[in-house]
Amino acid sequence: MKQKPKYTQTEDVTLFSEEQGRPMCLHAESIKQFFEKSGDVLVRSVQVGKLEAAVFCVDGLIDSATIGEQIFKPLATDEKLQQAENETQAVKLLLEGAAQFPFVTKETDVNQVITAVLNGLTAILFSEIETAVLIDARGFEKRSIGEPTDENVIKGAKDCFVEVIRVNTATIRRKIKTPNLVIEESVTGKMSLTNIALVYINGTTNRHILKEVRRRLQKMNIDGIMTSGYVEESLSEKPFSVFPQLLYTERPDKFCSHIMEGRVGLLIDGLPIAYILPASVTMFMQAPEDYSNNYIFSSAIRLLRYFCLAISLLLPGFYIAITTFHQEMIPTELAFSIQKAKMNVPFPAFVEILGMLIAFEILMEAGLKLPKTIGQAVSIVGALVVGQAAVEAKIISPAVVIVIAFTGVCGFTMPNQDFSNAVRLWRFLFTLAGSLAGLFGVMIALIFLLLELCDIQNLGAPYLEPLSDSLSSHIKDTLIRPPFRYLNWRPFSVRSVNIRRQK
Amino acid sequence: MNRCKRMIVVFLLLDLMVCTAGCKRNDNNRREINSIDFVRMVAIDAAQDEPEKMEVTLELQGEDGGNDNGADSGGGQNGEQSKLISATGGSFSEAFLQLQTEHGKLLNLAHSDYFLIGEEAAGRGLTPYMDFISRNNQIQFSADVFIVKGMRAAEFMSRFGEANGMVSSQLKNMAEKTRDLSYITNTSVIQVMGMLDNASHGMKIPYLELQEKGEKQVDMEMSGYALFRDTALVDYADTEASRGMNFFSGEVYSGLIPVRDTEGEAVVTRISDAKTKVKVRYEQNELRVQVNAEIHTTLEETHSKKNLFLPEEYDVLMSQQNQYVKNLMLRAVQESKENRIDALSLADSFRMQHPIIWEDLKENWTQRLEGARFEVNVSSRMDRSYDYEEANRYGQS
Repeated sequence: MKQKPKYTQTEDVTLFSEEQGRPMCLHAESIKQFFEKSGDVLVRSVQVGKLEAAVFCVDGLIDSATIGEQIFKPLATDEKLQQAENETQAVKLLLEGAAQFPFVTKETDVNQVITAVLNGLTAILFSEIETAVLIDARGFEKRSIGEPTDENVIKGAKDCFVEVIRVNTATIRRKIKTPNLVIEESVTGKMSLTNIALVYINGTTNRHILKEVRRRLQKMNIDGIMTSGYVEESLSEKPFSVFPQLLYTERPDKFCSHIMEGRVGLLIDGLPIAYILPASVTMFMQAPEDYSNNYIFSSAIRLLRYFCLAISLLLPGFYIAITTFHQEMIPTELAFSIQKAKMNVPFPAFVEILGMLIAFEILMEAGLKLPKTIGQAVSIVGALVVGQAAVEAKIISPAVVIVIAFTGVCGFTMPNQDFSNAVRLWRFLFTLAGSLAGLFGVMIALIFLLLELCDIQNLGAPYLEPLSDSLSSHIKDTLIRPPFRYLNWRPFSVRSVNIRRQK
Repeated sequence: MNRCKRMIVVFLLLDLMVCTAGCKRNDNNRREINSIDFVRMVAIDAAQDEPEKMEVTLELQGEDGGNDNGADSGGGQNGEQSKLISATGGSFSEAFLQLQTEHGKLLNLAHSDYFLIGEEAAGRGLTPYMDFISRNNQIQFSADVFIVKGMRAAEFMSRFGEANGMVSSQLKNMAEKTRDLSYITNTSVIQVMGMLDNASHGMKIPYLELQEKGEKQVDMEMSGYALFRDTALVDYADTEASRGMNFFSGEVYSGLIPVRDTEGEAVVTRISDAKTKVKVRYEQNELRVQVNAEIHTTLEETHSKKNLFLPEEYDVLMSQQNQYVKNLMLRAVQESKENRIDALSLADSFRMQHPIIWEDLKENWTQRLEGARFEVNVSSRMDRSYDYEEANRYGQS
């Protein structure tokens, strides 16, 4: 049987510290002794003819019925195994098909065996020759593939990534069947030993980008990857920036389209999302649905999204600037309307806006933390009841409520939550700048924002690319979504080896 | 270290930006919108008892429009209350400062859409009033300027406001219709400034007239242009002459032309497009002005029972239409010559076409204009508006 390498281990990963001690040899008794305090680790002796063996696995990670039927039963009853003269012969027979599993490998390194077992594999230990036969008979409870929760699908595949990396790799394989698709796996996290898969297409993805991603992954020296933040901060070029530098998605179709463009994908066991890199600003403004709908409609929606970005970022600051510094800019009737609404409100516009922005953030946070059913009630009480009461009590003016509501709704049109969060933070800065120096301050804040964005380089690709590009052909799929027949080239920012996408 | 250097560079740039933007004063114009009173309209007059001074009257939005310094001009017909406050001073800025000091809230001129200048003040010359208006950073250059015929601007505002509410609102409604009235074109602050800049340019500014309509009932009317010589008001052009002036300057966008068919029945056409080419030449020591106007009209109304688009009818109508427009333009020429002002904007045309000769003629331009020979050619065509035949039963006896 063709053996498939299952696990590669990065150099930095060590299984056991000196204090913990470790089994020096691949012997059933020493492993049993090492795991004697762990109730879920099973080391069970079995008699294979005249030979002694031990089955070593973790309860809960294996399919017990399958193990009983396809491991224990052959070990006890298979004629050839019963007649095996020695352990070497027994191992050979197991590798040649006595164990009725597709993925059976031989391992002699105790560290590798323990890692494999902790990942859900079953090991049949032969203590005399210090060899283990690893069998993939994993079976544990997992969430089934359902619809994405954060990225709604209207006209597209209704599947999403789940927490199990193997299910996710299979989903990708089903969508990209080219033999050039590479799913390169490694283990990261000193304690969590989390499986990470690097996904790319050989011959399309730039090898320098790949090399850099591998380097950064190897450089990660952490106990474990429990949340996405560990990976994001480790792989970001500029970790102190509030802007996301990795694009995450829970939609396999979006992930695969980016992989086919020549980008590098990252799957992490335990996380129901996948990362795509390098990412640029325009990618955070694109939604998978853009490519499902008519290109004219999609282009209009995309332009609307950019408009909403500007509103979400600038409107509160702009409102303060024009109502406190540049009243002449407001159309006459609107100026009177705002003035009338603000009569008897005791606070300056800046305090009103800042207070409402903070209230909005509080409502958002409360809505997220509470169960969904109560979360809705918070919105109703917060926005409608308290908001209405505040306006009637002349604590805030209705114009400010409209400004903040419009700002908030525009912020919700961002397809990417990380990017939306960054915009939410910068919004405060613009508000402050508008309050300090009017439109002059807003413009200075805008310059700072551009400086910040220009300063980010992601795996060699400028963050503002292709907007910063001087070639119009590179800017095609940014502000608008052109018809597919014009998308002949892969994005320039990925520096793909195979730049032509179609003829 | 690099980051630190970058931040220093950014802050230096920021400093530079602030310094070069003229942010020198501590007062950075920060004002909450509810602490401001927007001035809707400004009236400028010569002070009644002290002729060397000027009186500035401001119209503020009613209700919270002001405190106790002025007279409430009432609700009027449209229900919009206004408040008038006024002060006298040696200059506009002095009067305005006095108003500012006495008024409870900060006065802001950013939304003054109209400036009214009283007849007496206009007769003394516009320069003293326009200077403040052109220098003040709050005033919009797009605000319109009007001359008040036969009375003081403050009195006009007061009397009209008492009967009809806010003058600025009523004036806005009227001013929006001037495009349809081919005898008036709004004149903005920036246009008046342009006219003041050019000494040879005759100034013309639309005027307003108060119409008495019974007891306490007044209305306003825009009838034409007030004409200025050397920045001082000299005369008022009537509707026909004003319309002719607009044909000269190519500012006719609409307007009705009354004509008659071969049987004398009334037909009305509406101007849909009018283009005028003015060529001014200086030959044999005299100015020769050739005017070619092309008028495009549509049939607006007919009482005729004839098919107006048959050649014999059509030619008669067009001939009348041409003559009508020609008469208007000649009327404008006459008005201009009589008042010895270039109300036809011929100086600009000549300066553009003959910049070298202009240098010799500009000193005595208006005198030369008196003896100028005018040749006015008008060609026009009319389109049918609808193809209804039944409405007038034309072709049937």
